[in-house]
Amino acid sequence: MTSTSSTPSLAKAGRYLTFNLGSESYGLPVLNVREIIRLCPITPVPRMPEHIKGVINLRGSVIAVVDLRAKFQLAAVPYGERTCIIVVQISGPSGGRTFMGAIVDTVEEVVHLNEADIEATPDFGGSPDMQFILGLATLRGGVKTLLDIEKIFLEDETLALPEFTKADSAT
Amino acid sequence: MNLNNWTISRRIISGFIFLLMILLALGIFCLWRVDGLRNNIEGLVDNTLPCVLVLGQCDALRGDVMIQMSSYLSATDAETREAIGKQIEALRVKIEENLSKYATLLTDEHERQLFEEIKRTHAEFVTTRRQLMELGRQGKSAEDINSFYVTNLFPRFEVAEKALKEAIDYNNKLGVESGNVGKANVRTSMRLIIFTLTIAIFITALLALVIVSSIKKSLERITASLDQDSFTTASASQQVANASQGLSSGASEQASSVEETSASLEEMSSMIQATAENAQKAKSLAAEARAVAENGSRTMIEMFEAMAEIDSTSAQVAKIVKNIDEIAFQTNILALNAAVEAARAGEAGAGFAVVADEVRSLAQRSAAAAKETADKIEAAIASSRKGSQCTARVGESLTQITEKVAVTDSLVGEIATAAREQAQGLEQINQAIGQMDKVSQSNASNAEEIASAAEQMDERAKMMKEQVFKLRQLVGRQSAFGTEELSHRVIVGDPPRTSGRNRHPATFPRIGSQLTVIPMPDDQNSKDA
Repeated sequence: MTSTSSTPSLAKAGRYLTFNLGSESYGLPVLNVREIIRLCPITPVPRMPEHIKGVINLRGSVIAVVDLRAKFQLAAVPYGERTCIIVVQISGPSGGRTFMGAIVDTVEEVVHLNEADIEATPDFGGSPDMQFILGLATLRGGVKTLLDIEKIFLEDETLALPEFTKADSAT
Repeated sequence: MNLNNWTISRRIISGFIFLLMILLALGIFCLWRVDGLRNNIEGLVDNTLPCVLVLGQCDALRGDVMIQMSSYLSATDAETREAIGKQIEALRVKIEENLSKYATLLTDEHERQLFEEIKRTHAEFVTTRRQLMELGRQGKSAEDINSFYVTNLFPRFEVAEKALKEAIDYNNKLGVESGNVGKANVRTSMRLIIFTLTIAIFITALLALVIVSSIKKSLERITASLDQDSFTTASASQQVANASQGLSSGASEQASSVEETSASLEEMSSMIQATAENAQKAKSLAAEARAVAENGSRTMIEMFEAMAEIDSTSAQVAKIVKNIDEIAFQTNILALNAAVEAARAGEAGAGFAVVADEVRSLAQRSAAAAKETADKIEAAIASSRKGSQCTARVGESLTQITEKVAVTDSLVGEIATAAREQAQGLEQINQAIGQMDKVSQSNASNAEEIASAAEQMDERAKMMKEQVFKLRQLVGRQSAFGTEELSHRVIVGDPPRTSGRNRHPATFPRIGSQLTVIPMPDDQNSKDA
């Protein structure tokens, strides 16, 4: 499979942590991931946006937790036993490193993606919201959206993800 | 007063009494009338006629006196005169005798006055005559005597005669009146007697007619009913004869029926015995079934408990599987973390990454196995629940079976009891059949007696018919039913007698001997008999 996209893919070959939100599968570069923990009690913080659920204590350091479903404006579901928090490491605007928690439905696996597996983001008509998508990976017949987590967490505004269907992936 | 209720003697006696009363009244009336007639006749014979006779004699004697007086007057010598005077004196005595006789025959005041007049005139006449004779004795001349006679005596004579005549006339008148009264009495008596006799004859005839007709009517009624009764009796005797025939044939039929009944009873008895035995067997079988069902119930309860245990054990296994799943999940996360760490380590973590991958795949396998086990356990739990429900239903069924078996048990017990009672009832029926046999035998002998009685009755009816015929002849009617019917009836009345005598002894002993087949309590007695 060869890339026919005009813009070169931002994604690089390497290891990715894949997870699910509903039926959709997403991927994160594994180097952004600090660790994976099970869901633990979240302390709410007042006057925070809807998608920021609060803060948790991770071995002595306080980190903010974001609900990716709320972030992506998906329908909220109650947290289950398989709900996990992926602790990601973000380079802050000041250059320092911060940790943030992302609540996902389930964590799948750590996969190695080759160049051939990754495709560039298709053109959705110049939508600026496409910046935080690194690319699309085709893996075992399915399409995984590879996310640029730093851009996502740096974004102030609510992000809306375009819908990807299997029909789209066939093109 | 109803004449029909009277007895014949009363009717006849009352008729004769009436007749006697009429006779008595007639006799009294006649006697009374004859008595009146007798009075009249006695008045005529004892009073009027003697009066007239006496007075007539007086008249005649006085005429003789006057004749003697004329001879006295014509006499010249004293002796003759004296003789004539004596004769005249004798006549006077006679006259006075007659007058004294008449005095005894006076009836009423008028006659008494007349008699007084007669006596007075007679006395005057006698006195005057004596004066005349005294004149003659004194020797007076004939002239003087004649003139005395003419002037004194003759007028006295005429007065006396007149008085006598008056008395005679009066007596005549009395006699005529009495005779007339008697004649009138006789006439009225005759009329009355004829009238009364006519009425009496008429009434008597009427009464006789009424009595005779009423008696005849009653007798006719009685004879008619007797005639009818004799006919009815004859036909009844015939019917009795026929009925006795029917009775005897019925008795023989009854005997054969009794035989059949006894055979049926025997069969029934054995059947009932079999029923009782079967009922007993069924009772024991029902008891066994009941015990088995109760055993099944107990087993069911144990099975129920075992199911519950399976259920709880399954739940525990499910919990364990859940733990395993949890452990697998945590292992998976740990493996992922290890993979992340290995990726961070770069080339140095390549081997570690492989281990982490293996660990992760193991975790996934154990999760899959746990999931599979959980599914199986879930299915096992579902099956066990289904089994519990089935067990509950089977338990209900068993309970129902137990109840039904209990009901069946009691029913079978009742059937056994009923069979026993039936056997007892059969015993009684056997006894009753024995009595029926006796009754049918006595019926047969009775039928024979009835036949002979019917024959006698027929003869009696025939005799009665003859008597009624005679009675009807007495009454004056012929019998409504001919005499030939009597003889016909006697012939018709015969057959049952002969058939009854010939048949019964042949049939009934046989039945009696066959009846001993039926088991009866008084069997020994009947054999002895």
